[in-house]
Formats: sequence, C-alpha cells, structure tokens
Amino acid sequence: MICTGCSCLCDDVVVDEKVRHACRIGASLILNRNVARAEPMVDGRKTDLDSAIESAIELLKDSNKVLIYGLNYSTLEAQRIAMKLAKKIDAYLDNGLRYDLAEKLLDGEVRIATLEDVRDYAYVMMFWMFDAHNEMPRLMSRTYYARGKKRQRGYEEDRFLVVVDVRRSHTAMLAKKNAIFIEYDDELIKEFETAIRGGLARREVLKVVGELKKSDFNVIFTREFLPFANEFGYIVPTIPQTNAMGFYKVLREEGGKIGRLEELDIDTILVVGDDPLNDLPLNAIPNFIVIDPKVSFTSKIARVVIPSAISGLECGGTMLRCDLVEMKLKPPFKSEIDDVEILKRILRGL
Amino acid sequence: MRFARFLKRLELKLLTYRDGFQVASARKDKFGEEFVERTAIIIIHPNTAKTFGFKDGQIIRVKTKDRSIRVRLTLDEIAPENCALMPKSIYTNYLNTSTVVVEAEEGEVTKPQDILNELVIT
Repeated sequence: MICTGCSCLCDDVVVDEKVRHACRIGASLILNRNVARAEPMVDGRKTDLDSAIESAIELLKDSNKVLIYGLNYSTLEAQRIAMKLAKKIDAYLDNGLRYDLAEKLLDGEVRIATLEDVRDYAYVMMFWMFDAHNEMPRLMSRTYYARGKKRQRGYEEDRFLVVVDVRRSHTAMLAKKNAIFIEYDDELIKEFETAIRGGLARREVLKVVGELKKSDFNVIFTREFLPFANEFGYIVPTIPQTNAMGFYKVLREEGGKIGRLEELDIDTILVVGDDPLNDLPLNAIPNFIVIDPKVSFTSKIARVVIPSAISGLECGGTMLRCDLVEMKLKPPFKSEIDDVEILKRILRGL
Repeated sequence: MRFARFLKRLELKLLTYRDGFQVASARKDKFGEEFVERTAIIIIHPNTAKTFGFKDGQIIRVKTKDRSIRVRLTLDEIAPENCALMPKSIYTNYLNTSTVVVEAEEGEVTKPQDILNELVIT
C-alpha cells in the first residue's frame, strides 16, 4: 500500500499479518485504524449517517459565512468536490498552512526536485527549519542515507548535510561528519544571499556555499520560500500533512476564496479530516460540522459529526507527494463511505 | 509547598515543535493515555533545570496572562537554554503565546477534555 502517514507517501509499505516498512507515524495510523473511530452525531447525540449528512446540509443552508477547513488528508478527488461545494455556497477555504512556497512552486518560480532525483544526484542537502527525523521520519532514509546513481559512496562521503534550526533538533544532532548545524537567526537568509553572490557572511554560511561548488545538484528541504533557493539549487517542499500539496494544486485549478478563520466573522466551519482546535487559536467557537474518520478535539464540540474513511487505508484515490509527484492510492481495506461520497451528498443537497 | 513554588518560578520563551511519537499517538487516539503522556509535557534544558531547581518528571504549571495548564517536565538538550519546548497540540493552542511562566506544582497533568470544557465555557 501507499502509506498516508505523511507526505512522503511511501510506496513500499506492506500490510499482511504485520505492518512492514512503515515509520512510527504510518504504523500507528495502520495498526490503530479501529481505535477511536468517529460516529455519526448531531448536537451531541448519536444518530445514523443519513441524518448526520442531512443535518449538515440544513446547517450549511442556514449559515451566512462558511469556511471549509482542512482537506490536507483527503484525496485530490475529495478536494475537488470540496472546492466545488465552496463555490456553490460562496464559502471560504483554508487548510491552516502557509501558501507562499506552494504558490512559487506552482508558478514555476522555484525549481523542484523529486525524492528520486535527490537520492541519485544531490550533494548538499539543507534541512531548513525542518526536523525530518520527527516530521517525515523516512524522508532521510529515502534521500540522505540512500545510495543513488551518482552517489554510490554513502552519506559520509557523498553527501554534505546542513541543518538550520533555532534549536538542536533530533535532525540537527545528526550533523557530525561532512555536516554542519547552523543556528537560525533573522540575519541568516540575507547572509546566504550575500555569500552565494560572493560576499561576506559568517564562517558556517561560507563553508556551505563553498560546498555548493562541488556539485551542480544541491537541494533545500523547506516549507518556506527562500529568496536564494534558485541559486542554491532545488527545493523539496516539506509540509508533512499528507496531501497539502494536492490542496494547493486543486485550489489553483478550481479557483476558490482563501480565508483565514482568525480574520473572518465565520458562523459555520465545515472541517474535513482536520482538527482546528488543535491548530487554531479560537476566540469564539462557531458551529462545526466535522467529517473525520476518527474522534478529534473539534468533533467533541461539533454540532454535526460525519464519520469517514482513512484515505489510502480504507479508500482509494490520488494524492500528491511532497515533491508534487502524483500517487495512486492502493487501500488494503474497504469502507462503504468516504470523503468523496459524503461531500458529493452534501453538494447535491445544497 | 507554596514556598517551594515561589522559589521555582521561571519565565521562558515557548517554542512548539513536532514530535514523531506524539504525532503517532495522535493518529491513534487523541483522548488516550499515550497521547496525554506524549503531549502534556514541557521540555527544558538540563542546565536551566539545574539552575532553577526543577527535576525531571515533576509536574509544572505553565501560565500565560490569563490561562494555565499542568504538564510534566522533561529535561532534554533539544531545548535551547533560554526556551521551553512543547509539542504542537491543543495544549499550546490553548496557551496561544510565545512567553510562559513555569512553576512547580503538584497533582495530575491537565487532560484534553479539561481544555475543551474550558474552551466551550469561555
């Protein structure tokens, strides 16, 4: 199967009597799929699926300003329907993440490298404010540690690791041989820009820029846009949310109004597979309609809860990997209802 | 107890981070014991703890201007000396701040349901 634990979308995970090759996040998702499952609820009372969907439709009809939030764990097909739904009811969309890097990537302003290219060719690998070890646990074994076509001698000789962070993260602790840790501060971006153009900067930055000259394939793993990215080499966007890149792509294709919850006077939020109470500081609690396979903080206080399937595990579809490669999901289990079906029924009912 | 609390009080910059084990526990059950164990924690550098007399595993009250939670203290060098680290979660979302006051406390850690109750009431 293709693991949907994070945006690495590892395609070598095997599920039989055991779960093989998955990282701790993927294994937890697969092994605990039957734990804490959501049930259809309306105003805190259990109901059946049809009534929950009907109540969601009624609540959306009665709302003035709706936000559709999440969609980072849904398939491209579900995202597309959600965006059609947003258009129909003039709702705002938000996935709770930043847009700057995704926009530059989709505009073609920044060069993107696939994980396979990174494995085969990359020499300098810079992890910019990104703790791969915790956020996308198998990313380094698929790139930095792996031997590739032009990188046969292993990471200690054929790679140069740079970790930039405000603290010594677990990834930063790996910066030993042929590697460097740089503590982030507000001047660092400017210093990289200057050093790449031949100017002066701190010793560590000059060291990295010196290493860049040893290869024409260097890469930055980052989730923010860096103005020196093209001079450095390539980018791999590292948003760990499984199909966040898909959200940006579908949004670009379908069009839609982006709105931040904190900036709008929203009265109803349709949450798809996410948990705003975990992510967003809420000053007031609006009406929540939650579509989620599992019990979440938001589902506990939601007016309507509609249980769904876990994408990739119980329902198929397509997702975009962090490097924008399209992956067709191969679910080992089956579910009668999923995000696509639920959103279609809501769309029809409105 | 109250006297000890005055001694062990410290203002720190709060950083949030993603912890793989915590994310894995969230994928299992956000109201389960494993999630609380992985999430209701605050990490400070061992040197900072030594200076201010905090011990690994003790219960700590983390306070902002108008909100507070109880979490378990973990000592680890992944935290910078002038900062506290907490996994990004409903706990940090509830605190919603970049600076916190930490002080010694007794009792149990705050459960996610306690925060939800607080949010719904306010």
